[in-house]
Parts: sequence; C-alpha cells; structure tokens
Amino acid sequence: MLRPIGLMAVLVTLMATPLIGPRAQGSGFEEKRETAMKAMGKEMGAIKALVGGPAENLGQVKQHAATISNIAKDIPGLFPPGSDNEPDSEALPVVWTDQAGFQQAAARLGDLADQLAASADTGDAKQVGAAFAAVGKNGCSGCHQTYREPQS
Amino acid sequence: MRRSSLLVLATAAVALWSGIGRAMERGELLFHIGGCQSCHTRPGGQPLEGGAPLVTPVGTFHPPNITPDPSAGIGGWSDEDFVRAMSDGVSPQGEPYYPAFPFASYARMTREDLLALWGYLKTAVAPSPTPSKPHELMFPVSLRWGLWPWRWLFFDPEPIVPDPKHDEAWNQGAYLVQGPGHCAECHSPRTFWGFGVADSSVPLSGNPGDFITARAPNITADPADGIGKWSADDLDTFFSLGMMPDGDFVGGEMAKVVENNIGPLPDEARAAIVTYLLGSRQ
Repeated sequence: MLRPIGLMAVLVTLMATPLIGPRAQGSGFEEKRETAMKAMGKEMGAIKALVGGPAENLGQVKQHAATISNIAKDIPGLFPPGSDNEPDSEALPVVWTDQAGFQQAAARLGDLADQLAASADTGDAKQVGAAFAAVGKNGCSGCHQTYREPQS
Repeated sequence: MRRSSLLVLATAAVALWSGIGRAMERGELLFHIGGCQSCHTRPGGQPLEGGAPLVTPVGTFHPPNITPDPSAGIGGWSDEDFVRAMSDGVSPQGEPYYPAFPFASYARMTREDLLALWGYLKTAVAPSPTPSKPHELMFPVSLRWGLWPWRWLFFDPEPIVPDPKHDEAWNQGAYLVQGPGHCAECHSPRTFWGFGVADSSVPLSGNPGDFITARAPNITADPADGIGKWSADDLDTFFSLGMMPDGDFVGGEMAKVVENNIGPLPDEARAAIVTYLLGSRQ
C-alpha cells in the first residue's frame, strides 16, 4: 500500500498547482475560423452523399470541391501572427511556431480539393471516391492531427 | 520415384504454406487493430523501431523498439516471453511494465491470437537496430517496483466470453473492441484519478480527462451522450476516413487510430466493430 501514498503525494502537488495566467482577449478570429471550417465540413458532407449516390450526380462534386479549394486559400489569413490568444480556440501553438508548415498544410488541402474537382469530370465513382478520401485524410485529418487540440 | 517424392514435398510445402497463410491473416488483423504502430512507430521512422515520446504529467515514456531485431528489438524472445509480456505485463527479465503499455486489454486476448500476432511481428516486420530509450519519469513513479502493488490493486484481466444472446458479428466486434483494440484504455474513465485502470463499470462512456490521461469522448450507443445517433454507415465512414457525420475530420490520437488500427482492417472486421458499438442501441 506504499505506492498509493506516494501517488497521493504527487496528486496533492498537482492539485495545488493552480491554473494561473492572464485570460486571453480575442479579436474575432476564432469565430471566422469556425465559420470557415464548418463551411468546409458541410461541403465534405455534401460530397460524401454524392460519392455514395447515383453516378449521374458525380459531376456536382466539382462545385463543392471548388468551394473547399477557395476556403483553403483563406486559412492562413485566419491565423495571422499574434492571433494565438483567442479564448476557446482549439488551435495549437504549433500553428504559429511553424507558420511555414501550417501554410503548406493549407496549400495541400487546396491542391487536394482541386484534384477532387478534376476527378469529378471523369465520372468514375472510384476515382472520385479516392480523391475524396485523400482530401479527408491528408487535407482535413492531416492538419487537425498536428494543429488542432484533440476533441472530446 | 523421384517424381513422386517431389510431389510429396510440393504437397507438404503447399499445406505448410497455406497453414502459415491462415495464421498470418489473423496475425496481421491483430497487428492492425492492436495499434502497435500508433505508439511504437515515430513519424518518419521504420515500423515499430520505437515511437514518439509519450509526454504525461508523471514524465515521458519512450515506446521501445519492438521489431524482431535480436538485440535492439524483441527478436530474441521466446513464444512464452511474448505471451507473458502481452497477457501479464511482465518482461522476460521479470520486470513489470508501466500500464502506458495497454497490457490490461491485451491480457484479455486468447493465447492463440497472441501467438498469431507474434508470428506476424516476427516475420512481417523488418528488424531495426535503433536502440530503445529509457523512460524519463518523475519520482516516485520512476521506481518500477512500485508497479507490483499497482498490479495487486488494479490488474485483474477477465477473458472475453461470447454472449449467446448476440450474433457472431457482435461477439467478434466485442472481442476486437475490448481485447486487441483496447478502446477502453482511452474511452473509459480511469479509476483513481487516472492512476488506476479503465473503469469497467461504465465502459466506453468517455474520459473527462484526469491527471494522467487525456479527454476522450463517450462512444457508447447512448443517443444523447454517445454515438447512438450515428448510423452504421456514419460509423463505417468515420473508421475508414476519419469523417464525422457533420463533415468534421478527426485529428489527434484518433486520427492515428483510424489510419493505423481500424482503416486497414478487412471490411467484415470493421463491420463487426460497428455492429458491437451500435448494437446496444434501442
């Protein structure tokens, strides 16, 4: 029973460490980011429905993918230097410590969305499905894994 | 004469090959769902040669090299060494492992499955000479002997018994989720402020975040707090792509789980997991 006592000592120390520090003031970026991200999520949802639907509608993927590509261009501007103190933001500090990597990730999302738009012209559900998965995995998830706090 | 003995040899070789082939299939499936890569492979590193540091409030764990390299990895282990490590959480030298290694879940796997996984690890993974790094833990957690009372208090693995009220897919999913998949390690609340084990009285009901482990959502079939409103197709899409019903894409540790653990599974295994997770829905 020694161990729990030792652990309790650690616990008490941890509990006694208050979460201090100035509460950050926001400047509206958080809201804009959320709007942009949600808009892209909506487009992805629409594309998913099209990919699982009848082949004659596959062409509609193009416009949804183009919207994502356009929003992707705005992403770096939504996280400018100094905007890392937004309350309720889930963006990780690495967005600002690795701006080059972050901009590259946003550009990659745009490229993948362009490829998805191009794939829509083929009318081949397999190709569109693969391009869609690439946007999701390497565009959305790839970025969230590095630059966003884990969700709960 | 010669021809017939060749024929016998060929037949024996085919029989042996197909026998190994069947065991390997299971081993590979367990390798994926077990998620070995998510912890033991660092970004850009060779598979299983050691993972990215796992930083916790009690210190940093360095997931070791578990490739079949005889000196840097675990290639020198016997079958029994491997089974003991996975099902008892004790190294071949008799040292207890920290529960950062989810042996409390792996301990619920069958011996046959552990050996199938071992067969896959030994043959399909390339040996790497990269040495493992020692953990850097805070006192008193750094004292490994302290794990013996921990085990006495918390480690009590129960085998997964098939439930005859449910079909085979559900039971297969239950086994994959509770055993090799070790979902409860993150998605159940942990006892003793995170210092204990996954609380088996409220399985998969979410971890609010404690002193050691991170937050993780409720993944029970509860429609309000869990994923009970998701359709089977929603959950399958999530497991194959990481996409949630609202179009959001998962990040963090779960993105690795989708990429390494669930994504590569055969369709039937993924469907079984979906059946089990959504199965208790009203």
